Amino acid sequence: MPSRLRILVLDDEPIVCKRLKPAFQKAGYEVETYTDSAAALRRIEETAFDVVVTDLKMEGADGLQVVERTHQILPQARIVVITGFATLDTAKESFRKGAFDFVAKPFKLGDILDCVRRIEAELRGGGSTGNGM
Amino acid sequence: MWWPFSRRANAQPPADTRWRIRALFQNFRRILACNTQAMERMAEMDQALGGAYIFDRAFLEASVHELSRLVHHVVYNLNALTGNGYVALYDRYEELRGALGGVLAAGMDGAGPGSDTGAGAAAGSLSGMVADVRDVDWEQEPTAGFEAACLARLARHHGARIADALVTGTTGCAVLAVGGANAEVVARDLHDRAVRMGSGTASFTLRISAVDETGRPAEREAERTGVAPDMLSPALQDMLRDVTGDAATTGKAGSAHGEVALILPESPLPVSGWLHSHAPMGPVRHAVLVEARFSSGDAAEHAPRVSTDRYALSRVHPFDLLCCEIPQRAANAPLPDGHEPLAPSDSLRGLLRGSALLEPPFLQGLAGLAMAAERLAGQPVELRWGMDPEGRCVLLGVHPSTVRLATNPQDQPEEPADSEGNADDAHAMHILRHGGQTVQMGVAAGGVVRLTEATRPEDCPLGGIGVARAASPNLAPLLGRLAGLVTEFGTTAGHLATVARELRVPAVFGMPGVCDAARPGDIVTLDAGGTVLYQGAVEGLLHTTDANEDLHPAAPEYRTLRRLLRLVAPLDLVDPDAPDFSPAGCRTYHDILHFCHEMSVEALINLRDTRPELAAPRVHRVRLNLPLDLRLLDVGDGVAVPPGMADGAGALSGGDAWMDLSAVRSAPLLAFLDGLRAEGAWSHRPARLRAGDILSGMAGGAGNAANGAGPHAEWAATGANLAIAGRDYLNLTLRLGYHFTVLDVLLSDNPNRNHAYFRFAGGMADPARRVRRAHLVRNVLEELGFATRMRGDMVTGRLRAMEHAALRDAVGALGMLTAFTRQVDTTLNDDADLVRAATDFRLLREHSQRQARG
Repeated sequence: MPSRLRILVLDDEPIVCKRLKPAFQKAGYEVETYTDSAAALRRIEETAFDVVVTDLKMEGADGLQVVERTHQILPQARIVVITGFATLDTAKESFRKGAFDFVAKPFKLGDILDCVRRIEAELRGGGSTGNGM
Repeated sequence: MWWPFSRRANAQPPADTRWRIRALFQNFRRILACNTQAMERMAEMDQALGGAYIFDRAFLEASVHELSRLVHHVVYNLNALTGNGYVALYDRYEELRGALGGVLAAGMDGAGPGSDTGAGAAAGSLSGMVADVRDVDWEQEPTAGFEAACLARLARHHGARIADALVTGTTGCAVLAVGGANAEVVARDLHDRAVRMGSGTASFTLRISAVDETGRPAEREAERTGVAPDMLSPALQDMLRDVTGDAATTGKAGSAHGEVALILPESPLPVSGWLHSHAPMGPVRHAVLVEARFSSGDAAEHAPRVSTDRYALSRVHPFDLLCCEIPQRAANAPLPDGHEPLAPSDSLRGLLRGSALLEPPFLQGLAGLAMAAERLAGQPVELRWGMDPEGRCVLLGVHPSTVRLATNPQDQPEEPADSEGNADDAHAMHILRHGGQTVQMGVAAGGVVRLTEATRPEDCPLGGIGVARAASPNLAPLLGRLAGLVTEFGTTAGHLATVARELRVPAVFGMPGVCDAARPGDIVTLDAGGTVLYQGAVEGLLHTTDANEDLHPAAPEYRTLRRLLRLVAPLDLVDPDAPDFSPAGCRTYHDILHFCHEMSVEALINLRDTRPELAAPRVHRVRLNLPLDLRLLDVGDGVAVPPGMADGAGALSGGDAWMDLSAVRSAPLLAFLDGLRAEGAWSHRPARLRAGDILSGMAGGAGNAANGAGPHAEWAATGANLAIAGRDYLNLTLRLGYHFTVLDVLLSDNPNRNHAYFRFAGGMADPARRVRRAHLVRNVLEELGFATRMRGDMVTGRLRAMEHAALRDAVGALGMLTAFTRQVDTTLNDDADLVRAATDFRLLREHSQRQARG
């Protein structure tokens, strides 16, 4: 694992990327943001991200497909799902496909930062693979 | 009008009407429940605007949908409760819902309705495409441009003097660029307005900027000075052709979405220059830089020689001067203020004026404006400024910062040790206090300014950190002066929070103990996102946030949210006695919710009169060891339910029933009664009345000055008092002697929901003594943290967002105050009596508190 956690953020709403990128950077992480799921998946095939933060409802490949595909390409990556359409079913489905955590929009910056710090602590301490089912 | 019950005996309601009565109470409960949910939803939207949440379009759509559903439920339930007494509310609801839908549909894809430079443009009028820059709203930034919007805000909210100027937005510029009949209309309007505004000005400066879709400047800008009034439109069209032609030729249209034009009448300014809010590469790292040019008249040549001063000031209030660069000047050369360098200084007592063009107070004023502009813009800015012949600062323009000043390496002081990860020094700093809720994210530093409701804007230094006990709406006029605001109590859904977000002033409400911890004058740093107040200026934290650029105030989502909130959150309909307190007067969802709440309470109180066919619900008569007839109407867990009456239905049947105080479960009512029954609070001595008092009372004296005499005859004719009470809620109407009290309290475990409203009026004494008692009541309310208003002998007070224990104490104090002031007006013959009564009440409270502590 590199000295700084590498994070990819995928959300088709630019404002989410705009807000998350500087917040993660300030916390000391390397961040790339994408609003297009196909481009994000191409990048995931090229680079071993430690954390992938993805929305669920997007045009093109939707979030669940991204979760599934990321899990296949980067099985070691922790996937955090962010969505404004949080239901128990979508959460279950996300975890079934390999999501590590699930954050409902709107969320506070502190919530997602805590989530990533938890992942970082686990990765550095060789902890469990998270909440996935 | 509040008086609820006649004296006639309650009748047993027919069995078949009990379910109808029960349904009415269900309507009332649903109104309360929906009201609470809607307030929480509004608070969430408001907090999102302050940067506390990451949100997207789905959040905006879901919020509007949910709010609309709740408001519709409230309107429906009020109409069910009142037999369709307020059908017109449906129309207001539909209008607002339609407007919100329009904002959602248009807001994310464009500037939306009303987005050009003036009101006329909103109506599609060509003549409205030229506007006074002062009339530009922040909402219109995408089409009027950043410069006009920011200048207008600085003038409106921060007290800045800005140059007279007209603005032609993207639509107007597009019409001018195309030419033809429409362009002639715009040109004629531009000429007429410019001549009127310039009032004899011989020449104008034209400034054209290409702007992106958010209104922020794109790459291209052009300026032309000395344009004669008759040549304004041709010059503007010529410049537009140049700017757009260059882009077409070079293929560098870039992110430009359109052009905006600023038209400024030219006037003599002895000194002018630039102002950079944040120049990390300047002579001092991280400073406000001021550049001042002076056309000195002592040059040998015909053209005046220009000499330039440069000053670096701290970015933190009180904006100390860090260093300056002043060219050599003759000792007898006059300076802009007319003084010579060796004259005594106006601002530095005992010192000589020196040869600097600007004195420290002027420089500090400039720095304060620069930091205010940076907060508004969400990023460092550069301002053009001038000093008018009277020595006053005038802002001429503002631009997001792009320039990094070149520096002479030899002048560069040593770099501080910190570089990356410079937020770390925050951990080493002394934390004064932390906690509370973020109202508006951001980081700010400055000297502590203690605020009270009596603080005037002119007493509040520009750029300080305001510290107040309560987030009273009366502090709103001070916000434009502040770099940050912290309060011990307050709701993030209140008016002050809304204004803080509008002005992007970092703010935290509900930080425990901050008033004791932050000493006036001390420099502190407020990290509003982290809800921490540090001692001193935490440089690393201030520079890490880089003026909070990551908040994106100009992003479409934020603009849309701001527009939605304007149709949702403001509460203007607050006075039930005002003529516009009606469905037609509801301008926002909040107005509708408040109106429905007030009307539903009134409907319940008057139920026996307005719905006689239902008979009356049973009202409990509470046994108190006081000469007070208190009736209690339980609206949910306000009293212990007797065995066999699990759903409380039994309470709605039969005549009035006596009930012991021990059966009361309503927390606010118990707190009030504790105060009312406190030892020494209730005087049993007869009132000392004069003949004039009796006449005054007979004339319906109570509240005459405020309310007119109408209601008071009814008060005098009745003897009962009504408490509508739930476990957390109390609405109390109380008549003691000849004064009249209304108390509305929500006392829950959630401080953000808690509130208390207190209204006091009337009395038996003559008007002068009643007014003295009103002063006494107001003073006590203010000591308790209430925002108060007084009209004649009527005092109203509001308190919001209090912790449970603190609000319980305040409600107890209100009970004590109600008892204490029952007949005190008859003893207040002069102001000395008023002081004595205030002291007596204070001692009484202290005695009671000592007893409570055991």
